[in-house]
Amino acid sequence: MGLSVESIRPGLARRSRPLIALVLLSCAPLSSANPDPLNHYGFIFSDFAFALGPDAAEHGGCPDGFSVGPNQVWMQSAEGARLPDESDDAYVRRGLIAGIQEKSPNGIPACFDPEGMGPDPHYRILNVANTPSSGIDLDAAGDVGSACAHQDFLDSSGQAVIDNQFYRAIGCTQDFQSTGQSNSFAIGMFAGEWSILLDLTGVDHWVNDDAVSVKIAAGADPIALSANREALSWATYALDQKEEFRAETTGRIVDGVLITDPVDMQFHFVVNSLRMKRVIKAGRVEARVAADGSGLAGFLAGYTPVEAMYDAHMGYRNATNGNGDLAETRLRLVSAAGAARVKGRSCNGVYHAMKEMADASYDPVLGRCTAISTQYRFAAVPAFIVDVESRSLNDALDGDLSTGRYNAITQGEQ
Amino acid sequence: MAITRRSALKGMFQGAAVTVSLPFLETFAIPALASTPANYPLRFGTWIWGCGFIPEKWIPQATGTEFELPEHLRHVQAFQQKMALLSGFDVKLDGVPNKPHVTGCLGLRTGIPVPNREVVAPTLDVLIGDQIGSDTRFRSLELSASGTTNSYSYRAASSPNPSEISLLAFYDRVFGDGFQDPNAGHFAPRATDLVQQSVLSQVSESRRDLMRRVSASDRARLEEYYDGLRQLEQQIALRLEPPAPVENFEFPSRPEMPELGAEMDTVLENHRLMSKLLARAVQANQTRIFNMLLSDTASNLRERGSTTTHHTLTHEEPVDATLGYQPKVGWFADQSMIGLRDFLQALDEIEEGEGTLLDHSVVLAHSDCSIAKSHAVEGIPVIVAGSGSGRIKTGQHIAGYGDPISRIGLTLQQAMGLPTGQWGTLAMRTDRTIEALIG
Amino acid sequence: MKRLLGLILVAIVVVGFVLPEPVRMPDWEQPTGGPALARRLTAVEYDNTLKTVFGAEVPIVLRHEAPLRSHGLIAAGTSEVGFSAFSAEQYYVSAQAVAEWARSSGWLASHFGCIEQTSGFDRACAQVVSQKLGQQLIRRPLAAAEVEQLSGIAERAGNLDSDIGTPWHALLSSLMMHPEFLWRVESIGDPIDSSVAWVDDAAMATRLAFFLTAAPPDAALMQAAQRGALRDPQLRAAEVDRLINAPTLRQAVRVFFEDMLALGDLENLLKDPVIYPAFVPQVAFDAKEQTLKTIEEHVLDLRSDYRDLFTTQAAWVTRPLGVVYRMPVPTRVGWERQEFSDQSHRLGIQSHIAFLASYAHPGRSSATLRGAAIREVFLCQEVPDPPADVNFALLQETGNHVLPTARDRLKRHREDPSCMGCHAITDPVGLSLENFDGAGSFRTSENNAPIDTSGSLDGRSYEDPTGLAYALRNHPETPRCLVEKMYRYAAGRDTEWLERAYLDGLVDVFADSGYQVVALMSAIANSDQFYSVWTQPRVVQAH
Repeated sequence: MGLSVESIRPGLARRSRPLIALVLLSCAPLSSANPDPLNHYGFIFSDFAFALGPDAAEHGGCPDGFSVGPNQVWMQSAEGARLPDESDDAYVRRGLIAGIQEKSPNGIPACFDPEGMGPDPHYRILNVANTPSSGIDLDAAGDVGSACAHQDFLDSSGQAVIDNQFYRAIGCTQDFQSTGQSNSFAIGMFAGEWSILLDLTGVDHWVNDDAVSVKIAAGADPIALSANREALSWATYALDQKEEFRAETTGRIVDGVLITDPVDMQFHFVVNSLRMKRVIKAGRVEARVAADGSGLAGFLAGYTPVEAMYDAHMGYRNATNGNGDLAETRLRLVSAAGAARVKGRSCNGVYHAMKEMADASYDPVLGRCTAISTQYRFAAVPAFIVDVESRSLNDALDGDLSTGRYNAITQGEQ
Repeated sequence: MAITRRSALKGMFQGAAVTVSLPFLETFAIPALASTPANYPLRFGTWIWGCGFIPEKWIPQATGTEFELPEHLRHVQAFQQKMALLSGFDVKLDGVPNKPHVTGCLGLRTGIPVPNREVVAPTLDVLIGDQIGSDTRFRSLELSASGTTNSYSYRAASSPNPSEISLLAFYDRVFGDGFQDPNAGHFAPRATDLVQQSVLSQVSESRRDLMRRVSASDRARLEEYYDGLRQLEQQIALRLEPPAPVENFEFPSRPEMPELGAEMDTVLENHRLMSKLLARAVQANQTRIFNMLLSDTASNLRERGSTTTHHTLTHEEPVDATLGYQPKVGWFADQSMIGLRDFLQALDEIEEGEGTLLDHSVVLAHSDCSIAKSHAVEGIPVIVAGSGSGRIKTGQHIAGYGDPISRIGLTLQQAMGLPTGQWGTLAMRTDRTIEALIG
Repeated sequence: MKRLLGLILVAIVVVGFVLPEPVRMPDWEQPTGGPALARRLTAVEYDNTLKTVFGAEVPIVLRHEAPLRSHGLIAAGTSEVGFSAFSAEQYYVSAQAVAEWARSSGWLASHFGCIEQTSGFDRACAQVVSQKLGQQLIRRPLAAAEVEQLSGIAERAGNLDSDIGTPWHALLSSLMMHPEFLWRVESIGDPIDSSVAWVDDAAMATRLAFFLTAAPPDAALMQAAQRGALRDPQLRAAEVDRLINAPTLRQAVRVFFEDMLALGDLENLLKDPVIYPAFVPQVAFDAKEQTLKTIEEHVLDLRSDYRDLFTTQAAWVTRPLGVVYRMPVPTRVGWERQEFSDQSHRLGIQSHIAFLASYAHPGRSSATLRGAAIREVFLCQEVPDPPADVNFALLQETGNHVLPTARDRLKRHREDPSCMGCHAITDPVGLSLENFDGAGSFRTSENNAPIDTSGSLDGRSYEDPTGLAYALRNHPETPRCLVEKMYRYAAGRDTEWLERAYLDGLVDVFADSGYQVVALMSAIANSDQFYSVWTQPRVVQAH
């Protein structure tokens, strides 16, 4: 990062004054009583992605190949056989419509009823032992309900301790390989659609400190970028004003690594104008802090209810619009079916894989775990975090999409 | 009473349209007029390709006039001096979600970071058309080479100008019944130009009085003002002349109907033929405004033999670990620049006096997003081709440093003579002309 | 003679001046005249004129050409600048836009009942419109013949085009292309003595209005001027008082300081985005506004001592500025007022991004540019340009680890005798600002070497930017330089030799007021000198 401690100190020292200004500017309660503003440090995530293990080509854990997507399956079905004299364009279009129109036995669109669709025989699950995966040992740390049996991945010292069942669930899909598309959701972060803030107080030393207060929250402001589209250090960001997007916990710094105690957290993000929630139960951070506090990089991990993970990344069943209402059905449906089609994995395939791999939040009624261990890697740069109401200049434009025309054929593939 | 130019004009034109037997103004011996260029109409067009670009294959390393064209722009090498590349200009979302393929394209064209297709403002081509193209047979002509009737030309949300997708139908519409002989008809100077000429000539008459009142050094400075007035008068005088006759016009024969489809090669061929016909239509003054789609913003193009569209590939294709981008998507981005070359060539091979139709046009070529994989609307690639008879400074690469892309729209309007001081809405509002782009 | 002493201090580098024949200095209140000028309207004067005459809705579409800066001021360049073909086109586009707007928006009809009431062209109405708009735009009453001529333009236009609005469109566009709209052409009025006269009444009103309101005279001022009120000290004082207390003083103060500090140049300022990622284009715009807001508050709202502008810790900030200043800015859109902390080492407008980034290179800071700017902008000391063949290679090596800091590199550079003279003047001042990088962010080291910010300014030594701030604040030339720049700005030209006594008098008034800028403006506006011209053209003497 190239910033020295000296260069940080003066900036952070000024933190005290705006805090006073905050009281004047906002009726919202102050983030936390901060006895010593000098020890208050903010960061914004400048990189964020699922932390997965090696690609299938390296670990060989997908002996039956990658999952086969619904469009490929359809093309090999009787219904999907090419008609005589059918042009490429017409054939493409027919496949697209078939995907959108696919229904479960309950008569519900396939992606809205993955349970009813049952498991997908064309879907593959990663089945490998003794493979490394970066991340955090989750089950040593917190009580997330009786865990279900699962196989841990190896940490850097070769010990099988890393819980990353989400990786197992999606490890044999093409789009979750390192070159694939599904892990590029951070692009929305750089487009300013969402952000994640990390606020530390009571930091006495960046190498070892036995008690720090931690807040992990959704940001309300777009990330500030340079002309070269890199996250800027020292920008100011407001916390999301909704309590549901703020998590507070405690932590410590051990040999330069920030370790936080488990806490439920929630963020938001956007796909194709649909608003989704990213839910992490008993989430924890383990991240190496630059010796001068000028940045940190590491892991954020926890357990996500399977239903929530499915809705966030595959099914969009509860996605909302700019007004906070359930988004237009057609937009949600077309987006989900379109994603399944282009990403080469069915909605029900991922859903049942995650269900099968779930390793936490045991539900005695259902007789199975309902949440899945998930690891994210992140990097963060220094930021000033403030607790004020924040509005976009463009908010006036961000209304209910249900009034917008939507062309299923040309726009239907997101 | 002495016959002045002004009183003569008043007598000649009072209320009457003049049948062309001009240039009448030579009678009045304005020295500079003899050397003014022929009066070629100014044209404006847009050209769009879908799904963005591969930045490292498109954005030159250097800005200014000394730069190497990166790989994907090698196709338009021949036009390097006839176009300005603009990189790094953003549709400003300010945290509002991007509506893929809509926000970028229409944000650029309306100056509003639109969240959907409910466009509430006219697009650039319509704004400019109202200034330069309202007196032709067609207000504008829209064409789409890839079979989609979508259009990104709107007067308002409910009134898109739909694209013609059939070469034959386009031919029949323009060159069939109703085709106007480009050289026939009467030329009537616009009354407003006559008025302005009269006004300026009378303002000029203040010269003698004023010069008497000022010091010798101020006289020299004020003389520059009167020189400026004289140039303006000449410009207006030029507008009072009939347009240069259309030369070298070959009436196109009715084409064979080409193969239709969304395969890249088919589309490029269809597009090439369409471009040639469109260029003829523009040359023949059937319109001054044109909008061409190589592909839809959510590009439905395919490689022959593949059933995966360009757009689907942007979501589906893995990034090549060595190249650092999606290779098939890159192929479409590269091929799209062949389309741009064909389009510019069609305009440039029509000679008009000392220059070409392209030289008397301004073409705004752009995509709907920057990096296709992310559908980002930051850094949308833009090319402004053709100098519009010197209104645009070409042969350069301008970096936007994340400035609002509405600066391009504002600058184009100003270059085309629109009295626009600021343009765009909310986070895209700007009054900052890109001075480097103006000729 | 304080000014002379100041100049002698830097005499080795100051551009030489020729002492004229000894002349008895007049009493400072006795007008000595100056040239009658033809000043071109500046961009802001043009735009403000439209807003004043037509209201806030008027379309502002003019793209102004780059102004000519002379004697440190755009205002002083207005009496020297010529006229380009580009400007002619631009004024024409603007004239058309305003005329079209005035016609189609109903502005003309709603301001001239006779237009509303007549269905065709009406000569009497044209005369009324010509008279009224002519006086507003040309800033003087029109002679009968001129009214006739304008009415004639309207009538002929009506004959050429039957559209009912055409005569008014033509009338308005001819006024907006009129040389005396675009230029402030001054005429000589009543004599004061054998060699000095008043500028004529309309020009007096114009000088006063543009100085105190950055806009043309309003109807009341024009009427007062026509009654000769501006030639009467007491009546004039009443008008000055009225304008000083009008809201338009705010824009006048802004325009002056924007000119003096060359803040307009920031709009074209670009930094290397790799070296200074935080310097996004918006920063340059906000930086300009920040410094203006600071001055506005200091000078107008607080009526504080001008010299304290160099030590103020007022911090008007936006989010983009906060990134460069590394301070939190809770307000997402728009401005908020904070104070720079003591630890920030930011005292005074010379520690703002606007100053620090303007006087720096795209990829590095410049002690030399900053030092020269401190002297030229704030102290009115002239520093010559570097010789054309100078080798800057060493200075540009910002990654040089043998000479890690700018001080090290400049020291080596100064060993070249041809460089030494100038750098001895600029560098000790500029090096004190090396705590701020080329974008204006604070730093304490360069290439891992600590930055030594000690320096001196005309005999005062100090250790850091704070010391420089106080040295600048307490420099005797600081208020005098403002007086000189303010007067040059008001007069639209360089000062004349015989105006030295007048300037001395202004400095005293300024000091007596506790260095209140508004008091200085009032003193200039109330002085006879401001309105006096020579009766005969003279060869202008450089002072």
